Amino acid sequence: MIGLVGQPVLLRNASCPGPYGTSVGDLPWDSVAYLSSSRVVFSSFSSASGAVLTSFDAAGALAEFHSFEPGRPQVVSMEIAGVFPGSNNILIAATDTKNGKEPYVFNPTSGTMALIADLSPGCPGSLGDLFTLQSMASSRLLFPASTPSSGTEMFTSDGTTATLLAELGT
Amino acid sequence: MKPFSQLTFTSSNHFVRHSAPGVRDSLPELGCSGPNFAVFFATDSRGVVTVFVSNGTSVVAPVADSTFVAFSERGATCSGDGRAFVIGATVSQGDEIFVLSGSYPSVTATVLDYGQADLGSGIANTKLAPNGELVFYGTANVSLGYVSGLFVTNGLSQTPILLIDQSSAVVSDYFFINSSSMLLSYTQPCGNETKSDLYIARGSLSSGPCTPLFSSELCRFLSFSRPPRVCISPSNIEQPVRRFFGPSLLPTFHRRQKSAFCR
Repeated sequence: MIGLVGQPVLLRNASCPGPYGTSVGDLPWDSVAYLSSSRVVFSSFSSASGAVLTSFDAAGALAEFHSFEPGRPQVVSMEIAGVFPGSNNILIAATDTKNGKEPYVFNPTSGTMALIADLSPGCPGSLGDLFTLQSMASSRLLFPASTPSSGTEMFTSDGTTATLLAELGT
Repeated sequence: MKPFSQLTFTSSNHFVRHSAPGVRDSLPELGCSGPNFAVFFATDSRGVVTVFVSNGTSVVAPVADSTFVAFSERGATCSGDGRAFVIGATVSQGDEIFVLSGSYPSVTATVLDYGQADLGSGIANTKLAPNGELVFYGTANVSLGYVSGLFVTNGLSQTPILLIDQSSAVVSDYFFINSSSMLLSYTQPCGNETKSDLYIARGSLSSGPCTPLFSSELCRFLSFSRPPRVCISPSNIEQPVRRFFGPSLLPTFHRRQKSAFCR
């Protein structure tokens, strides 16, 4: 998958439900990102761990985010939306029970995830079917989002904040 | 719960609109991006679909004629390698090909042979060739009618020229080795199945050396390039290929050879 030499390494047993497994018959991942630092990130879901982001490198070193762990937002789904240029941090379209579907940033090395901005408070959130465009020059991602004041417009983010790019429709 | 009047399902990108009454959405659509700027499509203040370019912190509309900036409908396709982009879009006169070039924010847009080079769909995998011209996948109305294939253009106001006819085979990807040779991943029918091989296309196929690079399949194209030759369309291939590869370097693709691959 990422140029591994030798025997494949089992990361998860998809037929063994549990804290680190997916249910029988589930796809092992929902969306995948390949990073330039020989690291792969994928999202999955299990009844025990909830929405999970898994990051691993060629040596098999894992960094994971489990949404069902105490003190974390109750994320029910996570979609890998894009990679921030230059940093390898990942834009996640995550749906949680409080904010709806909003932009989060996932650090594939530390396994931490944080809300970038609650652009549209409450449900259903600001994000629809998401696509992203990379802006290499500014190390930013562009993505469409909808807010009560702007409507559906293009937003820009560097992974720490998200702002309206421009009011193109008015 | 918001009242029903504020909930609108848009057909273009499935956003659940919850903007305040009176707020107009631009509904951005996927474009393409490169090192210098990103390209996307959105509805502007006039209510027409327009192309925009952004460096991530600001956004501008490219310098172009009025026919370019006002697409008549959504669904434009865009592809580029960061230095130049090719767009297929529907304007009032039909489906056309446009080229974006320049550096942000001085981006210019050019329409190719407006009104004649009607484009069907599927602009993809645009790459800037070593000689500065643009190569891209698409479907265009050339003299043979609508043809899907690999086209080349210099980005000026002229008809994009068919480089490789993909009506019976598909170049799934291609790479420029240098100004006179390309590496092709070529998928073609083979009985009831398809087969994909790597080929090298270079000038003077009949006398050029056969140099296996990554696969012995690379030699096949050259070994089958001996006469008799049945060119797909000499009028549409020889001229652009000469222009693209130079007058003495003439790669050609032959229907008879394609069938021979499936033996």
